[in-house]
Amino acid sequence: MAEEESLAQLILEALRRRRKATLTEIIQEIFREPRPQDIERVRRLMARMEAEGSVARHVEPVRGPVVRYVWYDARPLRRIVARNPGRTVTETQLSQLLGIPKTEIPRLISFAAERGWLKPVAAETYRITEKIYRVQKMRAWRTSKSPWKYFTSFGKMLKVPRQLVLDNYAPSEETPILSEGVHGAVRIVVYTAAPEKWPESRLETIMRGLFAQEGITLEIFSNVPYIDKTQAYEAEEIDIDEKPPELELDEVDVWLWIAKEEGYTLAYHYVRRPWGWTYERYEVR
Amino acid sequence: MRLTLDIDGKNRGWWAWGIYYMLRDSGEFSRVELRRTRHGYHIVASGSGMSTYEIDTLRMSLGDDPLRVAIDMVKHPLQPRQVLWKVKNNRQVETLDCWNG
Repeated sequence: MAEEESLAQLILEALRRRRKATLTEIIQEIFREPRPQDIERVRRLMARMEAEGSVARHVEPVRGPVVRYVWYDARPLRRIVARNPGRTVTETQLSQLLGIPKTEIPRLISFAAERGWLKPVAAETYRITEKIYRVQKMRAWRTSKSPWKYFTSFGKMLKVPRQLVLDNYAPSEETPILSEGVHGAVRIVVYTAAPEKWPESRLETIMRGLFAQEGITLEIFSNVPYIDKTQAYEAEEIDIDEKPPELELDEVDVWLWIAKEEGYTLAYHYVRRPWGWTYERYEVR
Repeated sequence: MRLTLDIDGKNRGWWAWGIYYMLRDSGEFSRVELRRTRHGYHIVASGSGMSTYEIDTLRMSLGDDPLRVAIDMVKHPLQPRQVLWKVKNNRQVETLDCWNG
């Protein structure tokens, strides 16, 4: 989709201005002399944007069995959802606010419900999800940026702690240079409606539990002068469409990065299963 | 999706305040907040309902940290995007102004 983004923006801009348009009108606005492949390109793009919930399609009868598609801009739905957390809306209200025929509203609603933006409360009535917050804590161990902290010079070897060799972070205790970069990092993310239930201390407990379970010894870096330990915390109100639909509210999501001497980093994504934590491993180049 | 900007540089207050007033008066956002950090400024604008592509375009054109934009573009889909830390190494950011439309 990335290479078609500019064309998609032109189409959406035309729809925003016109409120509704047929395919011919859109093509005539964008192309001076459209070729068949241009028309096909726009048609394919419209189908993809419909699947993404950016536009809505209405089938309008012309005469007899002949029908035509009329396209509407459906993006204001995201703005309504982002600006009215906790409010109840009906299909008629949505139809009036968006300017889209009521027959097409259920399709848009099913799209929003899949992403957790709307929940049905009664017949044709839906509640927009309440305000949600993203709470996260991250800690990283990295080599300092100041060169004088490395104690390196040409022709001389650097002495590193034996624990680094035992943990396979260095080939031997005498190393020519310590490469600059992140040695390890942990990130814990929670999407929640009640951020006061997730203070920094609770995330810290989870982080220490992960270290204890996995036998991670990154704490040894805390005492050496050329490793910096950075930590950060965030509890921030976010828009509803920023929450990945795969994650539930109050579900802890854990990421762990371990840098290797060979020049790549392994990222571990921990997933909470009914039987405990499991992880997926990715290689980051 | 929110629009977040990380404007680095202590002497770029003129730029941060200018962007803050521009976003506030644009009518696109329902809430805009300006914060001062140790090395610069943070701006958070929410309630626009814009897509990821539109937000990324705005971030690039309004002077967000280019490395931050590049990192967000290659992130795993489950990784949180547009992160602005409120507490970093036990230092808290200071809220300069907040507008609720």
